[in-house]
Amino acid sequence: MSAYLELRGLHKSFGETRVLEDLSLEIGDGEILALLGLSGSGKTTALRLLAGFEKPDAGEIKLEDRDITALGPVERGFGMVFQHYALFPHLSVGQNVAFGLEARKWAKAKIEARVEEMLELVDLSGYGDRKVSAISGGQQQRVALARALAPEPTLLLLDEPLSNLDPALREKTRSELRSAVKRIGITTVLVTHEQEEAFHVGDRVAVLNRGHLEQVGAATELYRNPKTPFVAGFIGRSTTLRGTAEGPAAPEGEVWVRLGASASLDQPSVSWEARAAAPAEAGAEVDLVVRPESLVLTEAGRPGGLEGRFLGVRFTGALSYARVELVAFPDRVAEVLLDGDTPASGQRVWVAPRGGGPVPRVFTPEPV
Amino acid sequence: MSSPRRPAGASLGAALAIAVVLLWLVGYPLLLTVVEAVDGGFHHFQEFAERPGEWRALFNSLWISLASVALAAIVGVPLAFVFERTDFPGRRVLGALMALPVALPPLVGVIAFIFLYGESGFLSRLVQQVLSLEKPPWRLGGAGAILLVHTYSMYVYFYLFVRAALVRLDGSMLEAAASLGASRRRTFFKVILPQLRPALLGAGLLTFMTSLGSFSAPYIFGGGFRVMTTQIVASKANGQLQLAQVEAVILASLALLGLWVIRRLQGEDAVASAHGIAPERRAVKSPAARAGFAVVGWGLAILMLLPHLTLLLISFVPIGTWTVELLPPELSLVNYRDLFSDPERLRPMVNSLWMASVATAGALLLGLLAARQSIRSGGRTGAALEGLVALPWAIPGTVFALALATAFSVDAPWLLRFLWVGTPIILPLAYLLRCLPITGRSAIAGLRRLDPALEEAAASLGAGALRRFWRVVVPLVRPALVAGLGLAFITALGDFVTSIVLYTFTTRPISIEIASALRVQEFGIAAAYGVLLMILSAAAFLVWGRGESA
Repeated sequence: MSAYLELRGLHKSFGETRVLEDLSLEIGDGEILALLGLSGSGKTTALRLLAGFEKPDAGEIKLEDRDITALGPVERGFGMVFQHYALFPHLSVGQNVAFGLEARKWAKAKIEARVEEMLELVDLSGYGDRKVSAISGGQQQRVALARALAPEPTLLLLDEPLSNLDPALREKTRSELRSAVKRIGITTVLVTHEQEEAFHVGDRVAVLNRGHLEQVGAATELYRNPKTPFVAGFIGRSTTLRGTAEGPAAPEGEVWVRLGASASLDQPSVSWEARAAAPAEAGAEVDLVVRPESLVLTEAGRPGGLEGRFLGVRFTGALSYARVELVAFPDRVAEVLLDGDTPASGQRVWVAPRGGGPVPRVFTPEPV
Repeated sequence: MSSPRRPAGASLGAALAIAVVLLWLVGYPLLLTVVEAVDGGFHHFQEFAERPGEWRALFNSLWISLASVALAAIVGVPLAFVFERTDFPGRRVLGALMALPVALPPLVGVIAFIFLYGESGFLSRLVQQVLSLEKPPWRLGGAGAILLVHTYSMYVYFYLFVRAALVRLDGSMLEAAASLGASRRRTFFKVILPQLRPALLGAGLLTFMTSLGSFSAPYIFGGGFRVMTTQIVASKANGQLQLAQVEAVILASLALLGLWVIRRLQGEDAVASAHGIAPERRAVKSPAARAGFAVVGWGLAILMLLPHLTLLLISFVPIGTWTVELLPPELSLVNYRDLFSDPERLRPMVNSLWMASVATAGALLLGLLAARQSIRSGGRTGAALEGLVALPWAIPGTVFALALATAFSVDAPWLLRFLWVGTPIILPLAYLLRCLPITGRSAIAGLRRLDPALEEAAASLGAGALRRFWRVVVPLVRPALVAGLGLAFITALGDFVTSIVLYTFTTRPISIEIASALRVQEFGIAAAYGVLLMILSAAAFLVWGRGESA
């Protein structure tokens, strides 16, 4: 199957600043792709390139195998929901939704019917004559969606569409947004800095970091099999421990990592099992990234246990995590899923791998 | 990440077209004036330098402007403190009345002062009567009269700027100073005054530039006391065009130098951003003090209104009926009937109205397009465009008029010069360019507040450049434009300084007619014209003021 939308080798710089480097992505028909990254990751620029507000320095954008790189925003016919909605304050709700239809010279009767249909879609029937300043933030967000969808765009672009809503409303709007988009079946690109939003709304998530695409995949894939140290650290909680590979490893191959070897003599080193994200040689220095649910607090003397001091609990509601300062890694605080008794603050504890969680992953340390 | 956000479809062609038009109409005439002034060597500069009268005029222009700044500050700043920092009965109404002089066209203000404080004005008649003097007690003329008029019309800049700055003052900052043990005096000099610096410099700049370009007051009151603006007009009237051009170049250089100096002073100001709440007004509580404030306040307001009232009264005095009496013996509407029944008297009003309307509309469109291009281009190009739009403000009106007279009195289409002087084109064009800084500035202010995402949203919805401009940009910057529009219209309507250089008999505006009525002692007619100008200006403010709030 060839991709519905294809970005190939996109580069973009502003002056001296390289904002996007060699971004390539394929998006299937009807798919929702979330572009996830911190501010400065290039995700907004990627969206603006897609919308046609900026032109890439190199690379091409193809829609259904047609090169649209040279087209401006007016000709692309995409719908976009802006971060602050960008509703026209001098127009009513209905006039906002009708704006794109008038620009495309629809017949008057058709426009009226379409506006009604769109307002119904976002559950705002009867709000057509309201001023946009007279409705709530959540309603404004839905008007922005209705306005973007009204001219039957071939692609929907969402720029942090929920970031202006308060947290309670965001949860609900997320589901509504996804179901509205899925009902229409429109291919969608969503930009966000919120993992939960990306995972909830997107079918797949593309993680961007400093202008590079780190990894694309479903949420569970990114969580369980991060391909880069950035993704491993960025998605979900984890602890990174520096150790030595005990044998050579192929990508996705099994490898044992020796931890705590360089620590003081009375601390015996331990070996933990992991999976290599990239090839590693025997004896090479590696970073081991391990999820809290792949660790357990144990008693002294159990094999594979690293000694530490219990600092406290991070409580998230359903689950609690123990925060442990490891003797062999004095600059690190390890997070361990807590399912037994809570130790006393300052108490000596041991941290060991536990089966069942995601297998810890091994990366080549980035040169400092 | 902040990427330079440019609205979609910004085209080089549009930027170039706007830049060419501005360079042609604003920059080119000034350049031609300089070129013609130095044409064939500097001997006209030499001629200028050898005449003591020229040096005196230059010196007069400079010291009158500096003295005007000082006097306007002395009157305006204390008034701002009184009306912003204390509370007493009638404060709001009186506070608004205090800004009245700024809406009076310069020439109208001048003739009102003649009727009020001149040698046959009310005040001197009153003094003469009371003291039973043979002759009028004083003559209103020379530098004193010019400064009086300047102070009256320009203290408003200080008054308005400082009041605005006091409103923005953060009350918690004063409390902080007090809690650190600073006395009121110390707080004033160390905290409040530095925060007012930008307002004082801004008002000072405006007063200096206005005084330097002031023409009406020196023209009417000057007599033998010459300043550069009157000197230019006199030289041109005497047919010494090149000398006039030299004088214009020198005056323009002085204006630009003043602008540069004050802008440098403004550069380093650090003012706390207005996040706090303005300090409480000190309510005047004791009954005696309240009464005192009220009396002084109303007294000042009447003083400010006296010129307007005098003008109104004189406009009802038939020509030749008022000789030595304290009050005019006869009042009638005959002057107004004359104005509207005599086609030759009506013509200046029709002229002023159509020319001001056309000029304002043109200035609005050009200002908006230039502002849009300036913001789109950004960087140096944007700044250059903004500077071109503001240039007619920095150049004294007389100089600018002379530059237009220089550029457009030659028929050379291949040099983009046309024979427009003496045709009905030149005055509306001059008004347009004089209004351009006003409309351009308000357009830039409005566009800066416009969220670029709105235009992007329109583009992504399929709206082309024209539709985005008319359906999104124009409606949204309208409030800002409308505020500039009223001021631009009033400026064009009451213009005297450029008109006197460029008018022809058939295109003479109201101001020229007022000056000639004054010359032939038809005071009633001059006053009636003045009143009509005043009413039209007030109406423009009211109509557009309402449009702004809608």
